[in-house]
Amino acid sequence: MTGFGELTPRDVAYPASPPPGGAVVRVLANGVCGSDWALFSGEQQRPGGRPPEFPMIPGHEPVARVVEITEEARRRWNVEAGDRVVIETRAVCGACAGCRSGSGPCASPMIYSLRGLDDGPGLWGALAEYMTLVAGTTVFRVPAHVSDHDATMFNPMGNAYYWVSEKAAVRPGHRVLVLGAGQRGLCCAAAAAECGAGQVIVTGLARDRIKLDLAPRFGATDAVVVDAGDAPGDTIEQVRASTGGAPVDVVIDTVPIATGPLADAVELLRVGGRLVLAGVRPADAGHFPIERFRIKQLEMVGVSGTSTEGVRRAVETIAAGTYPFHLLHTHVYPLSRAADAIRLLGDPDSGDTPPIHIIVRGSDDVRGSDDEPDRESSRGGAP
Amino acid sequence: MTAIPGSARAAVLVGFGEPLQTRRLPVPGTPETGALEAGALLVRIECATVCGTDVHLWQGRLRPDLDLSGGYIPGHECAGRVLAIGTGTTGGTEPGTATGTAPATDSLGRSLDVGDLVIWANESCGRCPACTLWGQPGLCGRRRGHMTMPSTRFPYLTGSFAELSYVLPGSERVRVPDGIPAHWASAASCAVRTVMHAFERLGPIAPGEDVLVQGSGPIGLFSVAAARAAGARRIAVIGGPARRLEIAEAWGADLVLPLTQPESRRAGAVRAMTGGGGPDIVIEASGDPGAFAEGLDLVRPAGRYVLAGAVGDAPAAVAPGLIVGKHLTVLGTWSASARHYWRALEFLAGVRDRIDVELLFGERYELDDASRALPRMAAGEETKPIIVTTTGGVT
Repeated sequence: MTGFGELTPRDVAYPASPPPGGAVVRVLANGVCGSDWALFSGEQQRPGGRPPEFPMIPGHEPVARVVEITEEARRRWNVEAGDRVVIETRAVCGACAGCRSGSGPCASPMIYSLRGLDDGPGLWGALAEYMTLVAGTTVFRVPAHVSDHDATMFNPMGNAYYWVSEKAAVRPGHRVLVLGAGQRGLCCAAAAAECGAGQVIVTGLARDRIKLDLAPRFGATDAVVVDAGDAPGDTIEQVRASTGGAPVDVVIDTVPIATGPLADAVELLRVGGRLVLAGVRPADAGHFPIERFRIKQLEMVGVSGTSTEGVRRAVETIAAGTYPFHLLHTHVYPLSRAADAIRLLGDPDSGDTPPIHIIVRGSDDVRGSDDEPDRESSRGGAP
Repeated sequence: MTAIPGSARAAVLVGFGEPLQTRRLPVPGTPETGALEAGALLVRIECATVCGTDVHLWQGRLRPDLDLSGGYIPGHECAGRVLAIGTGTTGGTEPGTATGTAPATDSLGRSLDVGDLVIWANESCGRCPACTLWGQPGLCGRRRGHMTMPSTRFPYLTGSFAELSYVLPGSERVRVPDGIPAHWASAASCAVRTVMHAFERLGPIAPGEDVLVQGSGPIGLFSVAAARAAGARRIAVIGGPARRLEIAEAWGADLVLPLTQPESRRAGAVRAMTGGGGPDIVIEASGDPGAFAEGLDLVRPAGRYVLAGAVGDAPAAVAPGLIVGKHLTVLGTWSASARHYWRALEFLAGVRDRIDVELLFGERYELDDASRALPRMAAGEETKPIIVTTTGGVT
């Protein structure tokens, strides 16, 4: 990516050696994230809190095979050359006060996909054939029976665990309302079910029917179309009908743009309930019932990203096979069409079917094999 | 057996924004009015203090739909001395007497005798989701007490702008320890316990954390004192008028910023105080929904924001993107329970050597003169006026 909206293929030298304490990996597949579109479109001008270091290679949800690994990384990560791994987006510095405290957060993490191409070996993003990993990286080994494509769900599912389990603190018996039926909403439903929620309600629009129909297979007990029937848009009434009038303990709001659901959530939550606002949103202000929020003694938490524990649990959950993640991979693109993959996310109606989860392969073979290309150079970006 | 007076004087709200009317009302526990219910208390109001909510009520902003034809006694912030303890028989009976009544206790199980000073909450039903499931009796939908019972029917005396008050059988009540003056205990019964609840919601303040308090009324000022006691590094206050900001400084604020300053200048000063990053914690105690946007802007990324003051139906402009982008935690808090009343008294006993609590309190007003305190508080001329209720005598 050479600038906002500009993604062009480029040959990059295969690294002479792995970074100190790190590894070189062959990218197999990478999940496309809403933040990829936010950066590509220029909606996000300051990813990670600073101007982007163009040129750089996007992509931060990779599944990859270890090609070369330093002795130190072998020992610390407990993986070998040839292993398949998922790679956490943030690598820690290991030296700051946060890292030394053992409870973080790292004050200067390295975020894959946001580090410049001209910085060191440059292969810091997953829309490429190879990636270089630094010593502070967290990787999890992928069991042999899990497909590359299912493994890419480590990030949305890791987010879901972080939001639902750690931030919303969903406990056995909780009633959980998930606003939105996209990949994030479905993963949050699954995370809530795994946390023992008694009722998991997923909402979506009539045009999300295909996604809503999947909700029961991802742990939802109820799927609610909020713009159907005589009272279109009346989320409150529709949700109450599914709970028998009872309030919900937790709301996870994954609706990326709308502000109306915020007011609905305040109304639907129980006294002392939690509202988690997740994902990318524009900064436009909406009207918020502040007195009602205060009197009901609610808690509202803004989140994005994931935690290492979230990713660990995600890999376990994907491996357990409880949920049909393969049904979410609606679109798989070759590396040469990476820009099309990102554009489809930005304009979901432009494709043949509405996307749920989009994958870009680390090669031009979309079937899932990973034979190694010429190691003399690694191709990054796409036309 | 203590003699229960036949009537008591009270200041009664009969019209929004109008002067309160001093009326003589029947007292529960006499042969004419019937027995004090078992578990109820009849107390002599030692003193009442005025809360911002009383002003909002009087102005018609709090409960504009309230039917005032019967008249309501305003005031809910007070401390009272036990005059009689209800046994279900006319006149009430002192505990532990020959009638065989078990000793009465407060909500902490401590003995409660005639002559003890107490503070108390509205009565909650104990049999609803708010009371039992969520542990928030202050939100009980069937709560009774202040402003739920007109002064024309039993138990007549449920507001604090009166000589006597009736503590309903299910009301949580906490005995005031010796050495806490009645007007402090009165402030503990609303302002301080609200702040104790807000700080419970907030959780610990870590060493080195900076706090911004929005608002310099009693909630804001006690938030300053509590933040200082809880170990905050630097504390800024946005508020006014000047007298209140002086109290804020005396109680531990490092930086006071008058509302008359432009918002951009206030923001610059708060950022400079915190080394550029913004306060770790913001406490909204202004009552103005408009303060929310300023607080969201100033609080540091991954900071905590406690909403303790916002009142009114006016929706606040909120940018959800800011809450997500900054990974903020926003906590609503309202009212309190017995544990916060107790904590408020403990807090005052603990800080009395470090801050001059008396700075908060203003002029003393006779019951007949209570109407004058309300507009003066609304105008910021008073921070915590005291209503003296006993000078007229009890017949």
